[in-house]
Amino acid sequence: MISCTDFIPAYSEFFKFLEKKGGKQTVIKFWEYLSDRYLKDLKKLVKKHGLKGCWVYWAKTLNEEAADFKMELDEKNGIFKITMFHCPSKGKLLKLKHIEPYKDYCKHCDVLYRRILEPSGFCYKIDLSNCEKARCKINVIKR
Amino acid sequence: MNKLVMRRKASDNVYFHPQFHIAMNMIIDYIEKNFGKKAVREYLKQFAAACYKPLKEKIKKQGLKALAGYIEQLYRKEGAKVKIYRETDLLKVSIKKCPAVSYIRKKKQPVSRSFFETTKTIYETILESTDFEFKVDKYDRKTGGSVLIFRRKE
Repeated sequence: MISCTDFIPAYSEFFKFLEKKGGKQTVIKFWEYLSDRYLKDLKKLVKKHGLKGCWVYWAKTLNEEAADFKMELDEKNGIFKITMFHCPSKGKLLKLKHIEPYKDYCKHCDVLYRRILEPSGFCYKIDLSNCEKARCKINVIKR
Repeated sequence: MNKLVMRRKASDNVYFHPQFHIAMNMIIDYIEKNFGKKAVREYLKQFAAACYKPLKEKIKKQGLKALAGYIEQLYRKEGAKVKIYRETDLLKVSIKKCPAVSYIRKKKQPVSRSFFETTKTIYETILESTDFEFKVDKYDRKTGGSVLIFRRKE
């Protein structure tokens, strides 16, 4: 058994494995596959609660992942924000000196969530300019 | 419609996200369906060689004591009971129920046919080029319960 706490390096190595098999498109195809199957909870939550569904979803996952973050929900103005001060996922990869993270590791968060949120009536923006420091920002805006 | 704000530091929570067992199961299933069973082993070998390199080095220096410590800690974190029997050159681990398989089943997901390789291929790879060998003595596909035997090569 692979511990769930070792999943992140397994995930990163899987992206490398896929890229070796069929190039970047093969990696993106998998992210889309994963989004369709793994993020069903997020899809249901935004369908049921609207923007607040994002709050409910990430309140669970980011706490379980022990992230260092700030989450803001402004329903009146239709904005949900995550400011990630230290991403547990990328942070773990950077900490493990014997592991070389997949070069586009953080882009999975762009593909996975965009695929759920944009067809659900939201504009999804992710700022990965500081992802090499395990920092990023996500804005979900109601259209 | 009030504004909601949540601020958390890493130290506010314990890092434990069992949903990753579902994601791992999906990865194994995806490889098997798209690239075949051999590719599942190929991927797990690549992952284990990269991720467990420090553990392999520790086993080379300390023997099975290092592996026993790793396994004990691994299952404790997952909240599972294991029996560990150790002699100098033998380590026997009995796992009643695999916490990953239990979680996947609890979430009503089918366990991928090659999920077993996350035990077999991983330990085989960790022990490659050490003085020890590994075999799965028993494995219950329904619960993931198993008996794992590690011993010095003859």
